Amino acid sequence: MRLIRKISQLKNMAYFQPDKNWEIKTKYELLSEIASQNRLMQAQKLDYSQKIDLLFSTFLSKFSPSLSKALAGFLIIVMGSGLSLAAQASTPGEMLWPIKRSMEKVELSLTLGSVRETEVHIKHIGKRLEEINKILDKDNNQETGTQAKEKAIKQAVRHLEKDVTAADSSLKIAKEESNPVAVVELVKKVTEATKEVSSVLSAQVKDNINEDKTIGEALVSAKEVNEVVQKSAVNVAIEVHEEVLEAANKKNIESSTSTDGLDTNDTLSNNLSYQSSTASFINSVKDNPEVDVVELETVTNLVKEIMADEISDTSSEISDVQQKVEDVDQNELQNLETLDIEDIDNVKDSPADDQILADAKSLLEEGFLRDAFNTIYQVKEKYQRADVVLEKIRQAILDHGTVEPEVIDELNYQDSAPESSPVSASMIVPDSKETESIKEEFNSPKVD
Amino acid sequence: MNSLKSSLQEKIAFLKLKSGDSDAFAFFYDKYVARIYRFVLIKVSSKQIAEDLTQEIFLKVWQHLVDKKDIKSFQSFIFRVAYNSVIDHYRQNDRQELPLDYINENEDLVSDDALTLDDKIDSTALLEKIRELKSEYQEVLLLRYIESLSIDEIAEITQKEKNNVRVLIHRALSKLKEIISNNK
Repeated sequence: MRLIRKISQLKNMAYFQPDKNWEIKTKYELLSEIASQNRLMQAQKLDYSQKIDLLFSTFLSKFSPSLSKALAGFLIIVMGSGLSLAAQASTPGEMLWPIKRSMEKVELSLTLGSVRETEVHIKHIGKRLEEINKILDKDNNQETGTQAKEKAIKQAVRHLEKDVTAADSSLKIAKEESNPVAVVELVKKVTEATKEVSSVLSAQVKDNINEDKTIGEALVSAKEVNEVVQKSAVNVAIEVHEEVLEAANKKNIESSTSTDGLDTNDTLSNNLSYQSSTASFINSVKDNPEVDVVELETVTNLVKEIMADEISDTSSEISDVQQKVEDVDQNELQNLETLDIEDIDNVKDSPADDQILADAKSLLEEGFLRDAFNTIYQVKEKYQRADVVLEKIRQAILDHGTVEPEVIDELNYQDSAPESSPVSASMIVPDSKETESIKEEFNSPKVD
Repeated sequence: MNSLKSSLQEKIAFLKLKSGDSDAFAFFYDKYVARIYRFVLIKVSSKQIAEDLTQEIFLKVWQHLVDKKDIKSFQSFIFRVAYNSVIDHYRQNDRQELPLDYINENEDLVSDDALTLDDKIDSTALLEKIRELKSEYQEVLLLRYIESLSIDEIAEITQKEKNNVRVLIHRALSKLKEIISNNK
């Protein structure tokens, strides 16, 4: 009807448009008002059905038409074909590899939720390790020149680092989206994956560092990224555990103060006990029907398992590094001793570290998970730093046949990037005077 | 297809908004500020009042959203708040309409490219006629034909039965036609 049309035309009248300046001014006023309201703090997390809704909508929004999605759809069709099988077997540097990577991307875009996404990333990490092994496999040596191998490894390593970091990010998102037990189980899977990465990379480093420096370096850098992610994943588990404890504690306090407000002493001691030890806290809340004891126990046990793995991991790392120190020791360490290479000296003091690990174990059993975590990682990082230095020394030995003090300086200089430990950066960056005096001291006993 | 994506976008933003995300609030502000302002302005006729009310409405929306979790659609919710705010405003202030000459003097109207001169004169007159209707009729016409809301949404906003809404619209249109033909 004309009338209706006319009515709807009214909305186009410029008169009814708000003033732009007012619009913007008001927006910022509102936003700051909102920010200052406490409500923001008290806003609860989405409940379960809303989370499903959010996931579903995010999933669907990924499917809205676009060119890249059309391409992805094409690849899905390709995935069923023989071409895809051949692509699956390819390694970086081969023609089909980009197709494999695209198929992996499609796989990712089809996943619902961060938990699944992390699992897919873990799967891809496995593939990267396969590829690395394949490239470096002695049997293939004949066909590919060193140049091609180096390029391929660099690519594989780069993508490995990407996948590992992506697993870390989606794990962190999963922490916000999913329930504690699911998140901790996911952390376990991630840490298993990172351990595998670490062992494959270490093995390959051992085999290849003598032959090709570039490859060795690429592998070592991937190892470092991996270690960061591993720590971050374990940290997520610890955080989840702490959050579950806190939530249980809150519920416990709420329900006990609502039933008998007189018992303030009890609740106070409960409050303290949750912070001191999980074991005793669980005991004190066991009978409270409000508190989800099952969840608390499951999470605690899973995190304990993860931490126990970390402990055994660390102790084997300790012995590995010990071994390396001894290897170097025979040849060069006399030269280095007076230069006071702190890191290597530190790791010689192994009995103390074994004791520290034992302490961490008992902390773990008592339920002081965060403290155990900190202790373990202090030790772990010490040995990781030493490992890095040892690798460089080994490299230098290979390159120069001996380890001159200047070489050590050079290595330290290269090593002084912010990411590497502060200790090795400050290790020795001597001024020329010191170098001169040290040179004089060592001019006599030089090992060839 | 675009509307599918944008309605999903809105749904995602709405869920985020309910959990307290202020970026989501900014998203909705940008999307709805002009519409709410227009709706209020048509009813209250004063730009100043419309501005103040619009700001109030958005603030109320935020506060209510964080308190109540079971709201399905942002659009119906914000219009409901707007609708109620306007009604409250009238109750407190008695009808104080500016004379419609005010609109004529406004330069914006003259510079409107989308409408021909005929249309503009018609629009002003039409607005005048609409204002002669009782407020119930006005509101449903505004919500239906200016804001393009569905019958369901209008029912939710005005807290009336769907059938009731349909009948109201029908009656409003008839009455409006009557007024127009009477004055011609």
